[in-house]
Amino acid sequence: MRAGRLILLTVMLTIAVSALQARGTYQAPSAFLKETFSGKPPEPRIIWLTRDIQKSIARIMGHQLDALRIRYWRHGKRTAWILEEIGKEEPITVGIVIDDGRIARIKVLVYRESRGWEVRYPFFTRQFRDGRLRSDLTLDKPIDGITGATLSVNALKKLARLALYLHQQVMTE
Amino acid sequence: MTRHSRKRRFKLKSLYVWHRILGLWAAVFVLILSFSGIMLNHTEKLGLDRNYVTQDWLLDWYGIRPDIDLTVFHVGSHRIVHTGKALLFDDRHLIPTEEPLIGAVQTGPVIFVAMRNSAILLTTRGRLVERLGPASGLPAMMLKLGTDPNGRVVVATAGGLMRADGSLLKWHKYTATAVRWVRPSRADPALRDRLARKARARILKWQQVVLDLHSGRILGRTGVVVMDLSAILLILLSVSGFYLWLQGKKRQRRAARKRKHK
Repeated sequence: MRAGRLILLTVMLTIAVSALQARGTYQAPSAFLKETFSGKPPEPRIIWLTRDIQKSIARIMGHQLDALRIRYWRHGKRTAWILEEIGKEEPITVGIVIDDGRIARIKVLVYRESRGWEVRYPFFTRQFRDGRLRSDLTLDKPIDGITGATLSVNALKKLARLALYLHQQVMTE
Repeated sequence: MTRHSRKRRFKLKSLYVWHRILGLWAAVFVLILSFSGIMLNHTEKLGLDRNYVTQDWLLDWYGIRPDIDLTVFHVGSHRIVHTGKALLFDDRHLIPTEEPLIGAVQTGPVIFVAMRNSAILLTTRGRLVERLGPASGLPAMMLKLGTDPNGRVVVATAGGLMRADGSLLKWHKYTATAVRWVRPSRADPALRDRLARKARARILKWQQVVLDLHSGRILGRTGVVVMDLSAILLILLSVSGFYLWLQGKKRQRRAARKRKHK
């Protein structure tokens, strides 16, 4: 009886601790930008979301973005994006660096969901490195999912494709 | 017929009567439990977890009276309102936020709406242009919002005054004191009533009502006791039903045996 209670308490504590572990700011967006541009982030720029761009965004995200413009940081052929997408209920803030049309870095900056935080670990985000966008707006490399974190994984995949697409747009401007 | 068998038959008859009465009473609760149970099993399909109760009598029954703390800023002919839970453009819901509204001001073709640590840009028709936060270089802990003599946005923060460039991309320290600060307007009682009614209709979801109906909590503690009693009633019914069925079987067997002996 006592052992049973102890097991129950341990399970409950584990669940509570893992839920607490999930939420948090892992890197301030300003620190992410500094790190990306060797301590000196360039001035922010703006891309206006025209009707055509919104159409492509809707194909990538499954919905249009609730905004008319997005800011980004650019130095040469390198761009940095701080984007958000809802995993299950809360937005996940992700920093994405694109270098010459390939993903150079992807980092979860703020995670607000109670489950699925495994997407912030390098073992998952490393898979995106060197990923490019195909003409049908899909990633050119497979990304393995994480059991129990499907919605967060999908959110990160969508954001990676979005950053690649927006990078293409600003480079052709 | 012996005295013993007469007594037994009378007992059985009264048990039948009680079984029928209990069954009639239980039917009401069985219907409530069954219907609410089916509804709860299909919460998502029925949209019970998405749809809010708007019926005044039901909201009154739950005693829901929202605390709305209105902050209103007028920008041209429009009104930016913070209800304590959400930001509205005129009466239209913009974004959910509990951050205090610092002010709203038109600068060029956009309206800059500042909260304590974030801001939004809107078109003059209230369409969202961009959300700004610390990642956008927005000054933190904004206390007051205003414009300089050229119409550029200025905010007062704990660290001093900051002024935005024309496209609201960059912020710089500002030392001049010629700032026209915006002030909140007084919310008229009619607007307060209307928004309070709207806010009240976004509190209680149907899922909660059906759940309370299922558990009896919709009638408070009494309801729970009533539902507990109805559960006991169902237990009694099944026991009495089983007993009566068993007696019937025994009687049939006895009658069959008698027929055989004759």
